[in-house]
Amino acid sequence: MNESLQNQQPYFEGYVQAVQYLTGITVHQELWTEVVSLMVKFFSADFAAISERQNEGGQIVIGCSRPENHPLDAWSHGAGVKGMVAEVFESGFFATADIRGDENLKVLLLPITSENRTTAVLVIVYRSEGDLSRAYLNTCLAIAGIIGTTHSRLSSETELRRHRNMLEDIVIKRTSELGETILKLKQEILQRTNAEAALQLMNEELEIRVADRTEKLKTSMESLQEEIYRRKRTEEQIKATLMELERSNKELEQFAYVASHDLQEPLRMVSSYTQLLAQRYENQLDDKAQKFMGYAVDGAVRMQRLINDLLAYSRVSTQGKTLGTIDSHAALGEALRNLATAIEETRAIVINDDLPTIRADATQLSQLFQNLIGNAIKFRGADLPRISISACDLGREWRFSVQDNGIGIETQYAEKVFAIFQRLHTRAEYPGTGIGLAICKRIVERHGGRIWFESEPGFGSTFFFTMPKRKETA
Amino acid sequence: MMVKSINILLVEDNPGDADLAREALDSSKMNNNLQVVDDGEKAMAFLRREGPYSNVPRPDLILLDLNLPKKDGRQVLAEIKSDENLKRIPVVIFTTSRAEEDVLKTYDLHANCYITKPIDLNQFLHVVRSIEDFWLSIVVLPPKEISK
Repeated sequence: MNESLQNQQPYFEGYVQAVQYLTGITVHQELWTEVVSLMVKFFSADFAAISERQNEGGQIVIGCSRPENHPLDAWSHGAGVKGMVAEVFESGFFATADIRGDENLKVLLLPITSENRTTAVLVIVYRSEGDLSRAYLNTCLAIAGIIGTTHSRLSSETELRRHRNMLEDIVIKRTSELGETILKLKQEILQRTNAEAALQLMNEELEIRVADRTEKLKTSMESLQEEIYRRKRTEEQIKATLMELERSNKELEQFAYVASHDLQEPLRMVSSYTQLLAQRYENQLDDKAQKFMGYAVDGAVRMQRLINDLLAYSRVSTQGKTLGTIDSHAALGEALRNLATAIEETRAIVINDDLPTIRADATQLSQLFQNLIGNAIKFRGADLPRISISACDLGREWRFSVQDNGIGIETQYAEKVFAIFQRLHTRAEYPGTGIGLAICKRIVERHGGRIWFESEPGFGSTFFFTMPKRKETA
Repeated sequence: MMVKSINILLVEDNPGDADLAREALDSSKMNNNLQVVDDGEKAMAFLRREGPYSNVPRPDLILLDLNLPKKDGRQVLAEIKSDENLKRIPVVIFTTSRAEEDVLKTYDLHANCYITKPIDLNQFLHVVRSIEDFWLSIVVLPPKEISK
């Protein structure tokens, strides 16, 4: 056995050196290589190697780390060393062995423990024989412990470094993400700002438009109010006019009544007493006086007729009834009954088509027929009078016609015949006051229709009148 | 045979008409007694035998004009027809008016008939005699005095 192995002092120094060395080792240095050279350098080893356990598919593979080109290849001594390494891995205790061959060698196997687990085995080979001293062994065990601790520390440091790198990566990634996010946010803010500006602009435009509309509305409201006011005024005027009309109508009625009573009484006095004189003093009056009295009586009689006719004329409107749905054929029948005597005396032939149901005042329609047919008989020609009555549907109104074969009327008198008290003949030729057609015109107009005639003198006339179908006038 | 005397009351404000009526009735064969009053109030006083009329006879027939001074003919008619003692006396409306409203109104008030005075003298006389003839010879009138 080597002398230096017996002496504890040099191992302690080696130990201190090794500890200083190992505690200073950094992750960038190769631990196992350093350990091997440490053992050779300070602990009199001739050869050292590290065997690591590596998990490869569940099997334990024992690798080796040793100085290159070493003349002594411990592994060349067979599988013996490998078996011992496996045992140390298994037991976690150190072991020594002697190898005999061309050269006798001493082998020390030290387990390197990290976190209660044997992670490597340090194999130290001595080119000598003999036992290793307890002090040497203890120092070697202590060194092995420090190697384990250093391995743990380096692993932790590596792990830490990895973590740091990872964290750094994360930080970088996050920073870049944040940058992107910030960029996006900035863009969004820009967009929002733009949108807000646009909105603001729109708002302002809207406000302007609202103000504009409000102004217009105000204007139209004002004009509407003006219109309403105007209409109200017109309505009031119409109301006033209507009231005035009503009043004047009342007055007319009053007048008509006065005419029928008070105006006639003095006339009756004139006529009656003239007649009484003529009768009572017949023998005392000459022919001339009789004739004069005749004129006076005739005048009074005619005056009374005029008054009665005027009254009848005014009554078309004052005594007119509300228009109702009536059978015009029935109205014609009534007229013909009133004319029965005249028809019989003149042997007149009166024919009629189907006549419609219309909106009218039955009494007045009857009077209308009576006046027209009465005229046709009165102004008959040389032939027997033939009168035909018909009605024609014009859509919105009915057109009635009364045709005769009488003496006819010259068309230049188209207007005159319908005027009140206008006559085309002398009283000697045809009696009458000239009220008939004026009343006809008034009746037709009250119904909202028109009246006219067509005639060829000597061949007869046709009188037409229309009656609207809708409610138009009352 | 005793000749029946008939009392007629003519309510008429126009003396001309009253005279004409008298003319007509005078020439009648009937023995009539024509009394004339010229306004509505007098007519009612006559019929109720009030004031100066306390001794007048009760008329068998009344000829009533419509337009009268003071109390108008329609009012007189309404009073007669709503008076238990007078309503049976026939009232003949004898007027110049041809107004339909007068005809309707007086019949509504229970006038017994409505006659418009003719303008022609002879017709006038004829109508008055016809009235007398119809109401006093043809028509059966209620008994003279009704119990009060």
